[in-house]
Amino acid sequence: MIEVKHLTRRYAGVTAVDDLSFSVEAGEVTALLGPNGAGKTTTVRVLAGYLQPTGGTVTVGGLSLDRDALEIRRHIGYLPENAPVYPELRVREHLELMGDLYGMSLRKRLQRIEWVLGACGLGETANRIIGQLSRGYRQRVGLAAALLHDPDVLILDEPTAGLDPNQGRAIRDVILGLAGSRTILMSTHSLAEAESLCRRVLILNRGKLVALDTPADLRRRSLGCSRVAAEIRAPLEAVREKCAAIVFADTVEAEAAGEWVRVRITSREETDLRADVFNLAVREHWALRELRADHHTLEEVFMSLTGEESHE
Amino acid sequence: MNRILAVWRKEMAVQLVSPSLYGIAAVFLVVTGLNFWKLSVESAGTPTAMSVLLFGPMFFWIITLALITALTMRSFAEETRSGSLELLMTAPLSDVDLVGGKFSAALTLFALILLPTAGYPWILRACSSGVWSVDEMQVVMGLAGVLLMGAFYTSIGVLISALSRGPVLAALGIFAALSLIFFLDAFWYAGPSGSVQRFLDYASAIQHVMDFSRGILDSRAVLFYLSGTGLMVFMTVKAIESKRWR
Repeated sequence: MIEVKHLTRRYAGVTAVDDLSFSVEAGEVTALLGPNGAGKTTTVRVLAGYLQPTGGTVTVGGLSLDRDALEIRRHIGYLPENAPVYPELRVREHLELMGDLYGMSLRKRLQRIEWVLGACGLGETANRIIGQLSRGYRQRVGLAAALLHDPDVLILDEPTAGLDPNQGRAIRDVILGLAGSRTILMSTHSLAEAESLCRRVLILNRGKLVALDTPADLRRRSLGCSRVAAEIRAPLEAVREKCAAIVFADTVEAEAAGEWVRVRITSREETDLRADVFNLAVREHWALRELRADHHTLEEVFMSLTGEESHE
Repeated sequence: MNRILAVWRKEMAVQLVSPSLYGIAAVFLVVTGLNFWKLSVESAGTPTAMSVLLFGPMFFWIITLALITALTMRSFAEETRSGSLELLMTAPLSDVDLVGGKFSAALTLFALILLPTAGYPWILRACSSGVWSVDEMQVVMGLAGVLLMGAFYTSIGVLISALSRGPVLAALGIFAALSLIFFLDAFWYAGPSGSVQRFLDYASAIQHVMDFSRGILDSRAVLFYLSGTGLMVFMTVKAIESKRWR
């Protein structure tokens, strides 16, 4: 649905996006992840038709951004960063005017407005002045406006940034409801959000693509395959030594917590070390009070790929 | 055309709910009304053309420049500041639609606020029990002249607004540019040899409107203001286009 080939965008002397290529399948929700200044907003702005690329091509649904600039915009719903809206207007007026700008007939507009008001949970605020609404509601108005002309592709720039957890969840629920029927590309720097909403994650760093995969595959690929965490009652040194002797155990981290030892064993192989740890404890007559497979968080993957702290 | 109208409707809707617009209109009408009243009292007894009382004074023009500044400063600059320009520039509209809609909306508002001044002579006649006579043609033609120049000045305002990051900066730029053009125009018309008094009396914008109201259509002036407006609108389109490359 979205095809980006060798996309490059430079601002006076600075390369914000550098030879970026990726594609997004129809009906797929993809997250664009990266630290600040990674080129997320620039990428999104080029796709939405706000900025001209310095080089490379973008096609959406077979239409080229270059040749079919106006036509392509009818197929894209775009929510810019901070969801700009007209604060002087009422929610319904804002939506009516946006529909007018997209060339929708009055009848279609009225129909769609009722639908988006419902989908975005704006039914009760339809006649309120936008400037008096909370940030979360303004964000919903922005999202409603992006959905109004029934686009096949939704491009969302940090749709939940700056919202409190409840407001964020409300927006995520709307996005989840649209998944499957729309192709969605959303930039975010919340890893938890990317993981809960998106089938695939695209990680950018300094304008370059560093990874494009499902959250689970990313984890497996970039940091050892499996990790086991256990709590054992035994001398620290003994635990460290015996655990390191387990076949396939690559690194062992152990620390004392009272009379217990907390140990984490990582293996590069795709194997479950839990049985080995259990057998070891039985053999050594150690008490075992916890034993579990410890998943790498996407956060760790992110940090290992970008070499930077995430923002959440 | 439909798309220009859509932008025009959006622009009018946003402007017409803004209380500041009504404040600006009220100030303009009160100040020009008082000025008209003062002049007509002063010139009582001497035969004076209505258009001279209405559009003749330098003061009327300065307040008109201020009005155009107030009406155009937010045009693009406010949308740039708030980020909503991104909404317009990603809607299926060409840059020509966008600029055309914005410019025509600003000009419509200017015309709407200017229009009531045409009623002043009738109010004066009603209050002075028919001592003053009103030549309708004179007032209408004078008004058309002010609108023509207003279109040129509005196009300059919209261009500067498109080049500015925020409305305050835009306002300073617009008022400075309009004053400069207004007075340079006047200087050119009076000629470098003219005295300061003559220069101010014959500020060409004023002179053009006076000619207009007398039924003298100086085609050079009409052409100058129309082509000037076209050029400014074209430059605004280019300014908006350049935002996509910046």
